[in-house]
Amino acid sequence: MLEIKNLKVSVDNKVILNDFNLKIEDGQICAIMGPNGVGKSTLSRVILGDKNYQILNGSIRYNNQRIDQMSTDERARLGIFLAMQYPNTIEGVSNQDFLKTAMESNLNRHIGLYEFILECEKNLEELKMDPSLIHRNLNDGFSGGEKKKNEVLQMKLLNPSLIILDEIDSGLDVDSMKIVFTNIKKYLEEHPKTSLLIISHYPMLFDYLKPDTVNILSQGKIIKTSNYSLAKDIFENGYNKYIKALNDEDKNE
Amino acid sequence: MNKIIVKKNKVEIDNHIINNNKIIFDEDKDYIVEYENNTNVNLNITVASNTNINLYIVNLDNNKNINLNYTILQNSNLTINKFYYKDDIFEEVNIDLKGKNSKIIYNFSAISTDNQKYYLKINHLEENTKSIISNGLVTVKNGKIDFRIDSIVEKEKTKCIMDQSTKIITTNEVKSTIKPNMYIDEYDVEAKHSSVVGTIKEEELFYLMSRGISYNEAFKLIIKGYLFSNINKNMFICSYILEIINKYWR
Repeated sequence: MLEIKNLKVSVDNKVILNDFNLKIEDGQICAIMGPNGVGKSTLSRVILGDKNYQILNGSIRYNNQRIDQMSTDERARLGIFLAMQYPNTIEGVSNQDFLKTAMESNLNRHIGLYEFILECEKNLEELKMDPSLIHRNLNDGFSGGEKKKNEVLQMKLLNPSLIILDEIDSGLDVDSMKIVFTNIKKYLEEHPKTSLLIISHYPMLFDYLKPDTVNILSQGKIIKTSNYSLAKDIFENGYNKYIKALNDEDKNE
Repeated sequence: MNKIIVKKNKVEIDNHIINNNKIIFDEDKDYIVEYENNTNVNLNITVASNTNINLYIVNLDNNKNINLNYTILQNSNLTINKFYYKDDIFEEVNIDLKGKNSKIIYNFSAISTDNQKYYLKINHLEENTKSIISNGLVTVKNGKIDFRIDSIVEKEKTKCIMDQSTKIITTNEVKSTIKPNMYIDEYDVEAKHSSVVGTIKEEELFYLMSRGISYNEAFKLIIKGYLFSNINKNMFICSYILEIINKYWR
């Protein structure tokens, strides 16, 4: 279970999240939606402990353990996985070396090459990825779709219990979207206690991974929480009426 | 693989001392070059026409002053894969592309723990000559690197290709410098260059750590990848480089 209480976060002296609260139970799918630039990606990176963001107030707990003072790798080893909107390219670091090191770090044991290859081959096939991508430098020369598939490959190999998808659908064509979403859905079916936090603008993802709760983020906090019907309303009518309602409320106060 | 040993400022190939430290290669071969107990190294290497040579150079010794001169003649290729790990070095390398269609591929990696100064000069003295230079260096502890590289094309030496790339990753507060120069006195030339001095990107570390990899392990992956990508991965020294990396980022 992830629980964020009264979180206030700034970057470059600008407050991005303020009085932010969120709770995701085990096995729950939670969606965060909102216009561009409201802090959705910031939230995902703050959960993983990106040092560029400063926590001014509040707490983040994962499975009843306070994590906001932990390093990024410690949080990841607790089972939190962030599939990034723009995965990094790292010159010289082979995908294979990276994946094997990540698996070993999470399992805290050495993994033999044979075991690693078997595990990779199975998942590469399910993601319809070119096996040669394993031997290339990390995300170097990968297409947008290949980068996103590589994120999901990492997810499948690292067995997380909380997955954060930060606009996983951007840069994907329709066929790749289907493959990526189907793989995530299958993972959740096989790991029913795994929670999912989705940051997305696109309806197609929600058709595959129907959220239990949908939250609108604006002005640094959640301004509306509801079920899947809220996402459908946003897809049809946009965010304006919800933001206007918040502004009117502020004026009346 | 054949071995060239530079020992006490003298050059030996297969236990034979070479006069005046002048070597002429006239048949296709691969060589390992190792340094032992030198104070001043002077070495002149000529690659004869129509010859392909691969040199794997390793310097793990305390060699204060190194002076290397390469001359590459017509239709010949020289490929150098080179790794240095020592403090206090001053090295001058002069490469003369003296014959038409001659080519140098120069891949150099180094870990610096103290002052290192390099001056690399590539002279395109004939038409259709090609130089591909890639330097990837890392500073640790008190390491400081000053790297100067000059690529020169003279007038009327047309269709030359020159590519120079130098990158220094600093892991300390000491200032390192690169002075890249291209002196081109001819229009019909392809030239490309890049020079970077900087630290490891925080963004890259965050990405690796977000997968559960510790800070030290992430640092090590990046440094290893950086150094290995700049030299031939089959180079026998790779396991030694790993040992050095493990020593500093355990």
